Amino acid sequence: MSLELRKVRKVYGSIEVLPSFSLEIADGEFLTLLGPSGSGKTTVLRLIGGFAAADGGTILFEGADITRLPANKRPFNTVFQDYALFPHMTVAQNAGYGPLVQRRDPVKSKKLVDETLEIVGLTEFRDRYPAQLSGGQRQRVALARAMVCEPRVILLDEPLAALDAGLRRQMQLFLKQTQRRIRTTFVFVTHDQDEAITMSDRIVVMDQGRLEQLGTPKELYYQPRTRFVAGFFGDNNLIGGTLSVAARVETPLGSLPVAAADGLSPGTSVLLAVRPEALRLGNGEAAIAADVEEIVFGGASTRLLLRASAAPHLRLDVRLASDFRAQMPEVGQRVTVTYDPADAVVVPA
Amino acid sequence: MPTRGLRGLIFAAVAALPAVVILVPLGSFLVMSVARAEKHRIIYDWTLQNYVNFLGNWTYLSTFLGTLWLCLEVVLLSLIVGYPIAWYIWRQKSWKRYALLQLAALPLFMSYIVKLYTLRSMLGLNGLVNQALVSLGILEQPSQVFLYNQRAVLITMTVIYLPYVVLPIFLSLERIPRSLLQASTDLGAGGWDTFRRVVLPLSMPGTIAGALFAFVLALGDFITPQMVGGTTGFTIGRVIFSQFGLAFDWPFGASMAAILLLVALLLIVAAGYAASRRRV
Amino acid sequence: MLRTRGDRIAEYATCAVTVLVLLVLYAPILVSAVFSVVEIRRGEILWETFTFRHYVTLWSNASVIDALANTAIVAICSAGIASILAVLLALYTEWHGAIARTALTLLIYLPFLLPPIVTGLALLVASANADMDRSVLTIIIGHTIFVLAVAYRLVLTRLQALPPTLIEASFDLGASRWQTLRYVLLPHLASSILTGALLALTLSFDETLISSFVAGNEMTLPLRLWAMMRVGFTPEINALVTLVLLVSMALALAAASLLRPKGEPEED
Repeated sequence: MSLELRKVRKVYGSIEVLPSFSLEIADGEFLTLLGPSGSGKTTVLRLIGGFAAADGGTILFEGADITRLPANKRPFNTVFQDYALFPHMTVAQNAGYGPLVQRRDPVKSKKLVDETLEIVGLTEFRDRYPAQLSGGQRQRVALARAMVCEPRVILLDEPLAALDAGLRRQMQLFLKQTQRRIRTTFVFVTHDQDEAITMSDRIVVMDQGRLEQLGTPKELYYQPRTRFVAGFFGDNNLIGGTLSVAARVETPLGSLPVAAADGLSPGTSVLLAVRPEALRLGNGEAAIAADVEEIVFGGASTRLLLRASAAPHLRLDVRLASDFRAQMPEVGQRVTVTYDPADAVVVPA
Repeated sequence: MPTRGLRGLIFAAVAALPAVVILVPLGSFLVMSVARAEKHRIIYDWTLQNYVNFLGNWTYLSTFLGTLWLCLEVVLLSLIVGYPIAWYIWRQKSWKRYALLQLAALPLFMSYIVKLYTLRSMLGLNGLVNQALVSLGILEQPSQVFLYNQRAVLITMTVIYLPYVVLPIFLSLERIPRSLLQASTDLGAGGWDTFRRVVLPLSMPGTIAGALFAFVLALGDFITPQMVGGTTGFTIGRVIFSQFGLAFDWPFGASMAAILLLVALLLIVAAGYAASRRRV
Repeated sequence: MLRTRGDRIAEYATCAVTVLVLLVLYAPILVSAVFSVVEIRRGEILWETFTFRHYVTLWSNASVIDALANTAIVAICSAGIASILAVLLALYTEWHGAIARTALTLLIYLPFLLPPIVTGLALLVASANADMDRSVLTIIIGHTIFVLAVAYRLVLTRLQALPPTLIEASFDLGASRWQTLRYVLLPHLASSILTGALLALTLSFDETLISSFVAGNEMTLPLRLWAMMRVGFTPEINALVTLVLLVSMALALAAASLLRPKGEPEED
């Protein structure tokens, strides 16, 4: 393991932002810290970068303790949320700042700057000032500036937050491609789950300073292990109930089957989570009667908002692949929906 | 509310007021500078004789150049002392920063004459400075070198005009986003490199403004040199003021003040240009 | 932020400079306050002379009280006039689209930027040309154009921070121009006007250089103090100075607290 946080604690004033946080980051991976604001994800990044001092625990890099090492001595570089480009320096000067202050060989540095600007596609803008660049270009300068230092880890603090949707998708792809190309470890912070899913090798979901779940995007999407994670990705349908024997959950909608409930004993209060796209119209082992409240055509998919007949406070979100020819139910109509038990998971309530 | 036309008229009248009380006096003083005084009467005959007299007289000219040099010294000394203060205040957080800022700004509103009086007594033969130096063993006996000379003027002006330097520097330091400092550290720069390559260049607009304030204020000050300057601390301000007192040669005083005005305007324009050229 | 040793050394060094300089900057008020209650001979404080008597007797010193009254009249008048002018000028330049806006703005700032000696003697020459005797009125004119820049700047900044949509919304809701001014603009500008007026008041109270040209035979407090500097200050004068310094500092502090931005929490 190349970078490791062991029981790291951070307190701001009287608020314990991170009670005890542990994480291992592998060499060359694209790891995303995902969580709502206040979850402590940025604090983790700041602790790794050396911009905040840990109040407890240790941070190890390749076995060496770097907890007290100041930011300028760590082999990591950061891409800041607001890019933090030096306004009085050109693109090339910004990119060359690291080698300059690290007193590296000027000739080699210049070559490195040129190569890096080439990679990020900014060669022709090298003599521009940040104020003369667009948001996406500034973003690339910030990345180039970090890359030029040849860091072992690049830390990215919500770098895409300031960009509009189209540019965001473009930059997501660009960041991912660049990361594959230079094979540097990326630690990426975001509150956007779509972004996390698209880009990451692994995702750390955080809430209130705790690590909720760590895994690949697919694991987190399909096999959430906590209520928080189950609710965080997409518009999961969450149905409260009690776990009974034989992988069934007793809910106000009746007894519903689930794939498996490892580690949870019968009698536990649980939430049953089914993705909208796993629900379909029709009968089966699981059958829920509901009334159609709203139909929203969304291009590739059509969304049905249902109200469970047995428990009207419970709403169900169903996503069907759109089909021009197929007959759709009408608003107010009573329907039955079902799902494959393999698609349903339970998490502790 | 009055109609649009009437409103325009009211506004125009309001705008004309400062124009009259600022522009007319400036104009009449410039006209005065090309008049001449004869037996307590002013004769307007559009002559450049005052300027010729001033530029052709080494006593006046050297006083003028000496004053410019003095102002430059005041600026340098204020920057050397003022920049670290602004920097220190800037490094503090929340209430401490705000309190220090107020402490540094408040002397601006303390009586100028009282400051002069206090500094004069501090620099004098029995003053605090001499007492401190004697009791520390640096001086054997109280010295007169601190008062009634050019150096006294320099020290006093620096103390009086220092807040004018500290504040603009602080304000431009405050405008530097913290993330830029973090970025610099992140890229491997130590404190000194960050200061030299990021903080200092980005605080230049404030530094220039502060320097300008100090220079222009020192340039026109005639009371400080009069009170602590003695015979060697003679400045162009004192010469000008005396033309409106005992010497009673208003046209000559006005012409010297016009040259002062020119220098001040040139500096203001140059500083404005220097500040606007920076890409911040 | 993890700090290095160099950072800490720089911090201590600049802290020392700051403390030392602040001591020097505040020496006037300390010295005046001490001299107003005790006598000092050869650097030694004579505690047996301690008295607050001078704070009472100073009120019967007619020449000083006259100067003080003059100064107060001038300060209040010039601060008041400058505030009204500042609001009108700011509205004119910012909302009404003034003719020759840049020139007008420059003109307003000019007396503040120029050496006071130039402003002072320009006013002197102009009043002499106009056969106007130097009086309290000429001092008020001089101070008004001097402090106008400060008041104008503060009001203008606040006016520029006001989103134009707010005015449009007011019109949209059917308010007349007068109502918009009364209920939207003025409340928004109020604190900046007050701040400007307070700063103008303190600046005018202390103004010496321009006054020395336009005061004629009238005396303001700074001019009276200047005249008395030659002979030295009596304990009575020190008492007065202490009071004046305290009042002007209090006014400046009040202005500053109005200006203070609403605290934004700042991370480490």
